[in-house]
Amino acid sequence: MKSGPLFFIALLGVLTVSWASFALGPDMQLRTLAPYYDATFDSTFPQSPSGLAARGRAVYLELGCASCHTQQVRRSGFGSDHERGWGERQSWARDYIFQDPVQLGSLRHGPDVATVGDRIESEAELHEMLYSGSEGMPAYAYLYEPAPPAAQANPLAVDQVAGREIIPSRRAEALVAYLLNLKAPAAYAPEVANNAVEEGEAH
Amino acid sequence: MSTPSDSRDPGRPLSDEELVHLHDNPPAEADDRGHYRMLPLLLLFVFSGLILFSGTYVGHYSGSFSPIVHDARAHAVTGEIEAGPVDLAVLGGTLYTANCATCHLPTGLGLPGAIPPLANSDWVSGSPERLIRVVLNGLQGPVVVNGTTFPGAAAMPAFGSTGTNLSDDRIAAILTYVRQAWGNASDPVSPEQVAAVRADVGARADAWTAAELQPFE
Repeated sequence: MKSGPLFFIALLGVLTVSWASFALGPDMQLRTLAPYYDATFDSTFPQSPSGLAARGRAVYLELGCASCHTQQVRRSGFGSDHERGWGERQSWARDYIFQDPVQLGSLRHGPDVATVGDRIESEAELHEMLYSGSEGMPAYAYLYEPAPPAAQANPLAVDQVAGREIIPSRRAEALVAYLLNLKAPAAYAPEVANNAVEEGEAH
Repeated sequence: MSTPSDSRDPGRPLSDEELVHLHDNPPAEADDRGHYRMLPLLLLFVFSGLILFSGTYVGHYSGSFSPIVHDARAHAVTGEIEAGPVDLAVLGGTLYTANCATCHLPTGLGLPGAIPPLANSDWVSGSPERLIRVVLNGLQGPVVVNGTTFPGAAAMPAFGSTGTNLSDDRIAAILTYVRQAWGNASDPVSPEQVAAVRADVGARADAWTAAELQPFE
């Protein structure tokens, strides 16, 4: 090739500039986001899930829930997330600082789960849905196991097979704890001030 | 312009010599002033227009490339951002759970015979001066709440400077919550009221007794 070195340097330059502006730059910028201290609740937000919910996040990852479910609410007037009751406000970058990897998801095959903990009435409702599946969602029956013989009925039993109750395994319990932990995020003052839209400006 | 290929037999492959000759010709001919026409003028305007549009679009909707601007219609705010006013009753709820609910229970009902109730209690709805003193220094000995005598087996610890050392703001928040939760409907307690009582109490380290607090009722 006649201008081999020049071609190589130009190619390297193009790749470096793209990588720096689309990967390195945003990463360094988003890294500056810190938890926000809200004096009204005397606590910092967002909060990292702890205990069983943190283990449930691993189950969420492992089962590939993000293939069909997003955790990303679009703002009112941009998509129908607000109308569907998936969240009062859109998701902000600070909401995700404790998620690694970030579970944005890309396909809205199922409902968005960013605030699912606010919509679900009870643990039992989620267990029922996971055990038997629902319209468009496969059943995750393998997360449930026959209960050892017990004197008392388990309130979370999802089924009866051959006289034995089918109860959630530890993985199912962790996953449900994680999902119930996904609640409407807090309002961080810097974002609130920076995302205010004046009445006349809306279009 | 004539090349050897013009007159050749279409079925015969080109010889090397003919191929080289073919490539000798420039792709376009220079005009009479010796200029080559590189780009139609219209395309130049189209691309300039596209660049102008894209630049304006990015400038207008980029949100200043800030990590906290997420609405294309919003503009980044410069300068200090002030958090909204603190809702004392909400903060008080959090602090109550952390500091008080162990004994007085999340329901504010206390423990009959041992811990006086806070819900519908004449001490809570009574004067803030007495209530603030109880929280600052604690309470020991028998106490009569809603006509029921609590023998005072368990003394209340101090939450002022001799105890947990909660700030004026936080004590005001807890008392505002306690005075407005569980059906209570008394006035909120302000941090200034707490500061005034704290200054009045001074360096006292002992817990109060019900008799000592009689004057503040």
